Amino acid sequence: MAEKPSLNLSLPMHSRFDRLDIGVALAILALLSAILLTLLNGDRVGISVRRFAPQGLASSQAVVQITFDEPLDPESIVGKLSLTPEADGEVSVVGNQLQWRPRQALQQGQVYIVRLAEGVRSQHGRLLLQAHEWQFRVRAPQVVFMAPVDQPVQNLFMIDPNLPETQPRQLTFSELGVLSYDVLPDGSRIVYSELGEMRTAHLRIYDLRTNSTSTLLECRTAACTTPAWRPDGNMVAFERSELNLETGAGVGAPRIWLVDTNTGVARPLFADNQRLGYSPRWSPDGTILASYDANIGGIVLFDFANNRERLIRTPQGEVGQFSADGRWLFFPKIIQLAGTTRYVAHFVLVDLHSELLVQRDLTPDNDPNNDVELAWLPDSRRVIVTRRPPEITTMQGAQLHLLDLETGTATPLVTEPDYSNGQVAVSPNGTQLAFQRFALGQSGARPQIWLYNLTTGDLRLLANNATLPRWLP
Amino acid sequence: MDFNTQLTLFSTRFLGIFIEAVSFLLLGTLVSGLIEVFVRKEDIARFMPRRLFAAIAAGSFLGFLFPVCECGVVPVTRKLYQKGLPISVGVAFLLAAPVMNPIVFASTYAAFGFGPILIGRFVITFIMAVAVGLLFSLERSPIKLLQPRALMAMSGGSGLASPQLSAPQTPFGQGLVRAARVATDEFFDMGRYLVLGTALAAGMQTFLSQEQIRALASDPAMSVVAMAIMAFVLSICSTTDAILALSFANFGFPTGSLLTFLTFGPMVDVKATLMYLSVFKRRIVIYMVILPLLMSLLFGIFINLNVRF
Repeated sequence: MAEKPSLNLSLPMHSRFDRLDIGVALAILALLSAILLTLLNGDRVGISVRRFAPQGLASSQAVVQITFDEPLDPESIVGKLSLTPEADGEVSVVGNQLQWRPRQALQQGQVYIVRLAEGVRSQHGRLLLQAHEWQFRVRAPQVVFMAPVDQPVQNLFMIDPNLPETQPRQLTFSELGVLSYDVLPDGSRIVYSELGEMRTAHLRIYDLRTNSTSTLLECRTAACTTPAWRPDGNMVAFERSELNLETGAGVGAPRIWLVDTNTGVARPLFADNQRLGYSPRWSPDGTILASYDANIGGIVLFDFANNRERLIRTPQGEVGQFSADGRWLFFPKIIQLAGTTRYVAHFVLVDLHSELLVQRDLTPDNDPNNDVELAWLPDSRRVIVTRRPPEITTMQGAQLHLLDLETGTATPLVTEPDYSNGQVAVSPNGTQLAFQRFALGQSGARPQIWLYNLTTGDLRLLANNATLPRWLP
Repeated sequence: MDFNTQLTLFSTRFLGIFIEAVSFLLLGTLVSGLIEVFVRKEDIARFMPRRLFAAIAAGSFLGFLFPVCECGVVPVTRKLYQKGLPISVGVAFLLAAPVMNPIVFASTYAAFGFGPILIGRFVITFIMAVAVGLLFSLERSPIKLLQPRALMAMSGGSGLASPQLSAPQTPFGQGLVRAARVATDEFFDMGRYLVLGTALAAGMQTFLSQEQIRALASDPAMSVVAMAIMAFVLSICSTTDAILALSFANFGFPTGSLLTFLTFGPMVDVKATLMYLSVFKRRIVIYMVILPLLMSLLFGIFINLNVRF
């Protein structure tokens, strides 16, 4: 029987994988392991602080701002932020920014150390791994004003009231002049209206942190004036009057506009272009914008919280100021004194917390005093009244009185009939007044800025040939 | 979004990517044609360093000699292979050249200035290209790596370069005409991959939500993955991707993630991957996608978790 031929199966074995395949496989394994190890090793960087302010010198109302590279978890902030020495303030988180806003003015000259402890968490769970600490010093409030009055072009100047012998510092160098301005409550920026060519007026911002000027809004066909900061600094309300340069129809009536300070985008307050308005004033919390509408004949209160309007009817065409607590707004009324032919101005307070906008006379109708201006003190319970007493004729100056709203008591502060006083600005802590004085009997006299200390009664000259004083906190 | 809107978006995005990329492909094929005619195999052999690492490192810097982006680099590499360039050196060139060239240096500098992004982009690209090149040096037989078409000019179909053969001297005018012919053939050969890749990239851009990917910006690990996906899908040319990366930076993407976008994207994206298939075998293309991906992920995650800028 023939043997069955055997089949040789010992063929050379070839691997399906060559050196490259094996090398790549090992490399992939090594890379995956390295990625895994890196992840297991955890986050050694955490979230980072990108910017923080204020640094160096800061105002007494300075808002502490810390900007991170990621949005924050608000709950993780609790107990993490501290100021040394302690100061009362409110912490808030918006996106990747942490803010601390003082409830009371910070102490002048004091160095504050801000410390943000480690452990602050982002919305994605990353932690601040190292505490962040820095310091700033609170400078004294400054007085800003416009000068020189006897020249056609005025600019903004600033002076330290504690160093009256120093020369005022010029902030703006406008060739055609500054028309009006407003100071941000935290003292960091000033918005002003600058006259341009063809009677246009543009909005500019002077940043005191960087001592630089930037354009907020170019108004090429209009005059944009009377800017008013929303207290959070993110919006400016202003009057916009079309110049109608192409049609030659003359300057149009003013309307209230808003400009976003972050984007520079401007829009009218009301979509209806028939709505007029001037003298914009923000409530302290920034939710209400008051302005006067001559068509309607009253002060329009626009509430941004619910887009609702309320109206205070008054023919006088003036919008007063909000009290610091946001409850009151004043406006003037003209009355005829009973039994006489004499007319006087008195102020009316409006309770904004009441649904029906309850009004309250600041002084009785039979009071013969003629009230010209009003300025709130920070406690919202007292006001400075610029008043012409009945024995003083209208050709003589208005004097300053401190009026207590609860008792109705008026205390004379500055009573020199040869001078006319006005444009009162109360210092952030309510202890000093900066105001304009004008010597009535002197030929060639110029308006001056004076300082009055409410505690000591001291009165002294701050700047000559100047007007429109405002406090820079 | 209705179908008509999506179709319009798709068309716009397709044309946007295609018009941007096709000019670079044209440039690359022109360079390829010139190489075919005027570069001899012995030139390659003469100028290429003998030592492996030095040769691969030199390959990753070739972009400064042939400044092409990821679309143009493929035909140039294919032609250089046909002229006898070692595979590993060609791989390093292919991966590095879209970044390591003066145009991208200038555009990255313009977007980010001199800093960690500019330095990181070039250093990481160099490391990745050299590492992959060294890995590919494990296989020296081109026939196992390249498509038959890419081997056409190699001697006897052995898959080995034939350094002995040299191109006959061609008069300059005739040489230019021949270079143009070669460039034309290359252009249409590679162009179909570009069209397919562009269509795929435009489709992914239209139908994948970029918003969801952007939402991952703050996570140190996931943002790196997101950037790698964006780089692959968007298929932005390396000469302009720095500007887009700057906008991602404004979205809050951290530095490591941006570096992933700026290093992985020029090496591997949808259209480049398809074009690689015209040169390399499918298995090799997969390697050329996975290795840079993992390396760029590692660099990105490591930087995000360990380096403070």
